[in-house]
Amino acid sequence: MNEKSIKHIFGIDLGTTYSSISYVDEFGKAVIIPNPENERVTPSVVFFDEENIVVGEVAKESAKLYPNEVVSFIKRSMGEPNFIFEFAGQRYRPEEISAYILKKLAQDARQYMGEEVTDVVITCPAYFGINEREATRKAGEIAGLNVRHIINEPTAAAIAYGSLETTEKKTVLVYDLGGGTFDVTMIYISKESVEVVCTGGDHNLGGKDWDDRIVSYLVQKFQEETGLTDDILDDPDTWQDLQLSAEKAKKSLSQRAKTPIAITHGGQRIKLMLEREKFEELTEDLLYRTIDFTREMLEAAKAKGFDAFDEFILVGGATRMPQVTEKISDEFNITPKIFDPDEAVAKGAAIYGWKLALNDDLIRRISEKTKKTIERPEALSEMIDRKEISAEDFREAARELADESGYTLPSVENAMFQVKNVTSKSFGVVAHNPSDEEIVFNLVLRNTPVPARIKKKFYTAGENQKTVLIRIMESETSNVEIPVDNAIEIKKAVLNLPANLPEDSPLEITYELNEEGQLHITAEETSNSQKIDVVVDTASVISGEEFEQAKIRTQKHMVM
Amino acid sequence: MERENFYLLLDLSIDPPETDSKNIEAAIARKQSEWSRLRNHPTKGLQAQNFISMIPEIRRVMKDPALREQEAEAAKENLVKDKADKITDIDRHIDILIGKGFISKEEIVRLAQIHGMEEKEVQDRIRIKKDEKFSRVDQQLSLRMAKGYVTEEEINKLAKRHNLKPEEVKSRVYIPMVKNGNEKAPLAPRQMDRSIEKAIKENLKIIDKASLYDFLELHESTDLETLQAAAVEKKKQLVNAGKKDARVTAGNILAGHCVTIFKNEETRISYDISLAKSKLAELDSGIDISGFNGKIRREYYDILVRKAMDFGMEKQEAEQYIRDYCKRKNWTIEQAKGEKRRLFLFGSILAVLLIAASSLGYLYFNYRQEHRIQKEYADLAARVASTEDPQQGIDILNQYIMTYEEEKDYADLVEDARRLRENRVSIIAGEKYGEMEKRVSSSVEDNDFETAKSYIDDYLKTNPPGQFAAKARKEQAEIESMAENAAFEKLSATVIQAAADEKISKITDYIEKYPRGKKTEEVRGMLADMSSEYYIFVKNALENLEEKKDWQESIKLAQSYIDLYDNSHADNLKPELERYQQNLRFERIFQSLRQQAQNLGQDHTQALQVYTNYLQAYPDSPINARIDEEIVKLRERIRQKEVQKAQDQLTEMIRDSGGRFVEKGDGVAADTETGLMWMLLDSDITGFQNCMIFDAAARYVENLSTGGYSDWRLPKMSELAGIYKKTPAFPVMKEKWFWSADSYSGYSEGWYRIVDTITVFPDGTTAESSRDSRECGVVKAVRNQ
Repeated sequence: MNEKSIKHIFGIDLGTTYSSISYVDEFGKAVIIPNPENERVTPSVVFFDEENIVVGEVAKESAKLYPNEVVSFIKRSMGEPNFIFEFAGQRYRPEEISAYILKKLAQDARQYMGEEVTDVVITCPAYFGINEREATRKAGEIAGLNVRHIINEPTAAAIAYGSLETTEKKTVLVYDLGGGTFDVTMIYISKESVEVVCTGGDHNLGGKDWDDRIVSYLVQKFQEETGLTDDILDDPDTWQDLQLSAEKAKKSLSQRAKTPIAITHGGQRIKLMLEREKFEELTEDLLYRTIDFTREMLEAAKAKGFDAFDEFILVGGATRMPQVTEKISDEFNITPKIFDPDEAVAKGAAIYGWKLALNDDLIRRISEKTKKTIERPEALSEMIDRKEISAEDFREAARELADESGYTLPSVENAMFQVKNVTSKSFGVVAHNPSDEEIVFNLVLRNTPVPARIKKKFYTAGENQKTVLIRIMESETSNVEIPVDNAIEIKKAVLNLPANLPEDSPLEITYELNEEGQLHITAEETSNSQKIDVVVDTASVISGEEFEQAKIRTQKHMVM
Repeated sequence: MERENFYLLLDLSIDPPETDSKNIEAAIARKQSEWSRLRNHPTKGLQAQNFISMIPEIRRVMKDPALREQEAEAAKENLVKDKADKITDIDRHIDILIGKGFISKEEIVRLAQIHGMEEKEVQDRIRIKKDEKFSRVDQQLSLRMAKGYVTEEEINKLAKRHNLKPEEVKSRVYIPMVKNGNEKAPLAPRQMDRSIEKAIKENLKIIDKASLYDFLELHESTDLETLQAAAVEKKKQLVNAGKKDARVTAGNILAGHCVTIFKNEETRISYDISLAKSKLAELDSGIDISGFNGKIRREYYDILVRKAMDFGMEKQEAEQYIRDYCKRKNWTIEQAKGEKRRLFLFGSILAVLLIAASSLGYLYFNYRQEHRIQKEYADLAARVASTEDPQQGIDILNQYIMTYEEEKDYADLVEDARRLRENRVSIIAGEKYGEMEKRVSSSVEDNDFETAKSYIDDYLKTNPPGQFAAKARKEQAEIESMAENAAFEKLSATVIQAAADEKISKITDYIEKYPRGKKTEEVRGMLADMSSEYYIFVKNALENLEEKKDWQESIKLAQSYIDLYDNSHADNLKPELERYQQNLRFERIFQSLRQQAQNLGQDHTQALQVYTNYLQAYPDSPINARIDEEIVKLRERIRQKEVQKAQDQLTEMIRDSGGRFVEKGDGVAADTETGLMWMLLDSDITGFQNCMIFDAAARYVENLSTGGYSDWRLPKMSELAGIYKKTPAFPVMKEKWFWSADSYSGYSEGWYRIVDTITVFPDGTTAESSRDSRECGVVKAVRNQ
C-alpha cells in the first residue's frame, strides 16, 4: 500500500495571536504538527532581527526589548491598504508580514514531516470581507504556497466537530472568540454536509481587547501609585511589557481568582494584585457585545427558519475565560461545550484539505473510468444525482482509492461531505435611484448562500458614453438600497464601452461570488449582446510589482 | 462633523505653509508608519486606525494645490479657533416670545408664516428651546452631583433661579437627596473604575462627543429605561451603518459601555459623578495654568469665569469657586482696571464688519485705531516700567507681542516692545547670574566644590544668554581645577596610611573623576607603584574568601586586579578567576536545586527526586558530595515523617486495646497485665537499619535510651508471645518477625547460631520459628518496670 499516492494538503489556522498547522494522518485523523519548540501553537508575531526574520515565541519575547522591530496582531490589519510596517527603510504590507508567519509554519511542518509543504487550506474569520480574504490568499502566495482554499474558521471548527460525531444531524452554534476576532455562526451538520445557516461578528473584538482593558487598568494604577501623570504607554518598551503581562494575567485569571502583576517603568516598579472580579468588571461590556452579536445572529437565523439549536460550541482561546461560559449559560439557558479551543480550526482546515485531495484523486479515477470530464469537485455529486455517473462507478473508484492509499473505505466515502457557506457581507454597486440620489444598490445580500450569481440591468447616463465606473461596495446590512456612506468601497472596476451607444443603453452586470468569497464581475451590453471589458482595480490588496517584490523578499529572507 | 486639519495632523509648517510635494509625501509616509505602529496600541489604536483610513483623502487634498491652500488657511483659522454659535432667526424669535413664559397658538402660526415652516416644525423648535432651558438646569444639577448627593437647599435655589417649581427640579434628580450638606449621604456611590472612565473618554473623543448622554443624544436627566432603550437602538443604528471603520468601532464600544453603565441607578450615578468631577478637574487645571507668579491676571480670570459658566455654574457661583480655589493655593486675582482689555479679542471681527459697512467707516475707524494703538503702547510701557518684578514686565510684553506681531499697523511698536523685552531679559539674566555667583562663592569658601559646580550646572540648564553662559563656563572650569587640587591633596594624605584596597579604591575613584586632570598622570604612577602591594593584599583576601566559599566576592576581587593591571600577577590570577567562576556556577546550581527542593515544602519525596535527577544527569559534577549530604538529610526527614505517622497510628490502635496497653509517652507503652514496658515502635518502623542480624539486634538494644531508660533488652520468646498471642494483643500493622533473646547453636555445614523468633500478621495470627542469626529481623525492645 502506498499512502504517498495522495498528496497532503495542510490546514493552517492563521490567527491574530497564535497560528497552527495540521494534517490528516494515515488513519484519517487530523493532527496538529508541533513546532521545533514542541509547542502546538506558534505566536503570530514577526521580529525583524537585522537580516533574519524571527517568527513565534522568540519574536514575542523580543517585543519587550525591541518594540520597534516587532509586529504583532497583523491579522487585524489584513485588507487595510494603508497599513505599512517600516523597518530599515523597507516598507512591508500586512500580506507580506503574514507571509512570514505562513512560511515559518510551512517550514516547521516540513522539518517535522520530512516532506515539502506546497498545498494548503488557510482559514479566516467568517466575518472577513473580500479584501481581507484576498489579502489572506495573497499572503499564502507570497509565502510560496499553493492556496487551495480559504475557509471560514467557524466552518472549519464545525468540520472538526462533525468529524467526531458523524451519525447525527445537528444544528450547532459556533461561538469563536479568538485573539483578535469574534465570529458567531449557526451551522447545520449532517453526515453529508456542513451547512452555514447564518453568520455574524466583529473582526475588531477579541482576546486582545480583554488584554487592552487590563493594560489601561495597569497604567491607571501605576499613575495612582507613583503620582506620575505622563502616559507610560508612550514608551514602546513599557507598552510591550504591559501587553505581555496583561495576556499572562488574563490567562492566569482563567485558573485562579487573583494574580500578581508587576509594572516597571522609568526606574519605578509597583506590584499589584488583579482579582478576577475586577477583571470582569473592566470587561463586562466586551462580553455583552459578543452576546449581542449572538442574539442578532439568532434573529437572522430565525428568519431562515432555524429557531433552535442543539449545541453551543466554544472555540478560540479566549473562551477559556470562565465568565464566557457563565454568561452564555445565563443568557441562553444552555451549557456551552468548550471544544478543542486552540486546535479545532486548524484541524478542520486539514480535514477540508484532505477532502480536496481525495476528491482530486476520485475525480481523476472516475474521469478515466467513464471518459467524462468533471469540471469542479462539486459537480461530481450533482452528476451522481443526475445519474450521469453511476453510483457503482463512484463506489468502485472509492474502493480503488481506499485500497491504494491505505485509508478505510468509509473514511473515503465520508470525505465526500459537502460544505455550504453563506456570505457574511452584502455587495452592491453605487448607482442613481429614480429620484436621482446616489445610493448603493446591493446585488448580493448577507447570509445569502454561496456560490451566488446575480444579474442586474443598469443604464448608461449619456450618449456615446465611453466608460462606466463601477464602485463595488461592501456593507453589513440586509437592505437592498442603502446610503453610500454606510458602505465601504472595496474595488473599482472600469467598463470600456463600445463606441456610439445611445443614451439609456442597457448594461447587464453580473456578480459572481464563489465559496471562498471571491467576487467576479462580468458586464454585457445587452442590445447588441457584446461582452464588455472589465478592469478591476485591486489597490486595496497587494498586487503587481509590489506583490512580486514581496515574493522575492520572502524567498530570500531566512525565517527562524 | 469637523475633521482633523491635515496640516496640523501631519505636523507640517503652516506659516509659511509647506508646499513642497516631496516634503509633504515624506510627512505622510512618516505618519503612515507611525500610525501603523500604533494600530494595536491598547488606548490609541482606534484613533490610529482612523488616521490610517484617512490617508487616501489626505493625499488627495495635499496633492491638489487649491485644496491644499484652503487646508493651510483652515489650519490657521483652527489655531485661532472661533466658535461662534449660529443662532438662527427662528431661534431668536422664539427666545423673545418665550420670555413671557409661554408661546400662544397664534404666535406659532405667525412664526410658521414668517419663516415659511410647518407649524409642527416650529413646535419642535420650541420644544428644543424649552429642553435647552432644562438642559441648563441639568447641567447645574450634574455639577452638584459630584459630591454624590444633592441637598434640598440646592434644589430650592436652582428652582428659584430658573423660575421653576422645586418639584420640577426634583423630578430631574435621580441621586440621593439630603436635607442639608451636614448630613452624610445615604449611600456612598461606588467609584467608577478610572481606566474605564478613561477608555470612554478616549472613544468619545474619536467621535467628537462630550459624554455618553451626548452620544445617545439624550439629556442627563433621562430615565434609565429610556437610556437603555436608546443604547440598544444606537447599537442597531451602528449595525445598519453597515461598515466597520474606527468611528463605528468606537461607537460600538460606547454602546457596550452604555448598556453596562445604564444598567442600574448605582452604576449610572457612578458615571454621573465621574462626569461632574472631570468637568471640575478641567476647570481646576485651567486655573492652574492661568496662575502665574501666584497671581491670576484679569483677562484670564474673565475667561475662567466664562468657562465655569459654560460648565453650568452661575456667574456668582463661578466667581466664588475660582476665588476659593485661588485662596487654597494662596494666589491673588488681579483687580479690574478701567477699560476691559478683552476688546482686543473682538477687534479684528469688528474691523471686518466695519469694512463691510462702508469705506468711510473704514477710514474713520482706521484713524481712531492709530490713536488707540499709540495710547495703548504708552500704557503698556508705563505698566512695564511700574512693575517691580522684571519677569512680570516680560510677560506683559510677550502678551503684547504675541497678540500683534502679525499686524501691519503694529509693526514698529512690536519692534519697540521686543527691544524693551530684550532689555528686561538681560536685567533678569544679570540678576540671576549674580545670585548664582553668590551661592557659588559661599560654597567654594566652605571647600564644597561639588555643590558649587551643581549651582553652575543648574544655572546653565536655564539657558542663560551667551555672555553669561560663557562667564559661567569659565568659572566652572576654575572650580573644576580647584576641586581637583583639593582632591589630590586629600588623596595624597590618605594614601600614606590606608590599607591597600582602600588606597586602590581612592586612586581609581580619582582617575575616574578626573580622567584628564593635571595631576592624573601622577596618580596613575601611584597606581602602577602599587601593583605588588595590592597583589599581596588580593592573594591574602582570596585565601580568606576561599575558606568561606564566597566565590562571588572572590571573582570580584580577582577581576578587579586583572582589570587594573596587565602583569605577571594578573596572569597568575586568571586561571584562579576561572576556577572561582566555575565554583560560583556550581554554587548557583546547587542553590537553585536547593531552592527547588525547598519550594516543594513538605513533599520530601519530590524534593529527593530533584536531587537524584541531577545526580543522574551529571554524575561527575563537583557538587555531588554536597548533594549527597542533602539527600541524606532528606531521607532522614522522610524517615522521621514515616516514623511519626506510624507512631500516631499505633497510639490510635493502642487506645482500642481495652486498657491493656497504656502509652506512657516518649515512645514507651506499658502492658498493665504483665507490668512489662515495651518500646512503642519496633526497629522496622524506626528504620534504624535496613537489615538487622541478631548480633546487631543485641547491640541495638544495648544502645537504646528511649524514654530515658537505658536498660532495654531483647524480649524472651514467652514475653513476645505474651503481647502478640494473648488478646487483646499489641497492635500489628503489617506482617513481620521479631528476634527473641532465646538463642542456641545449631549445626549445618559448620557451626551457626539459631534464634527463636515469632512472626506476627495484621489479622492477629502469629507463627513461631527458629531462624539463622544472620537473617534480617526486627527488634521489639522490652524492659522491666
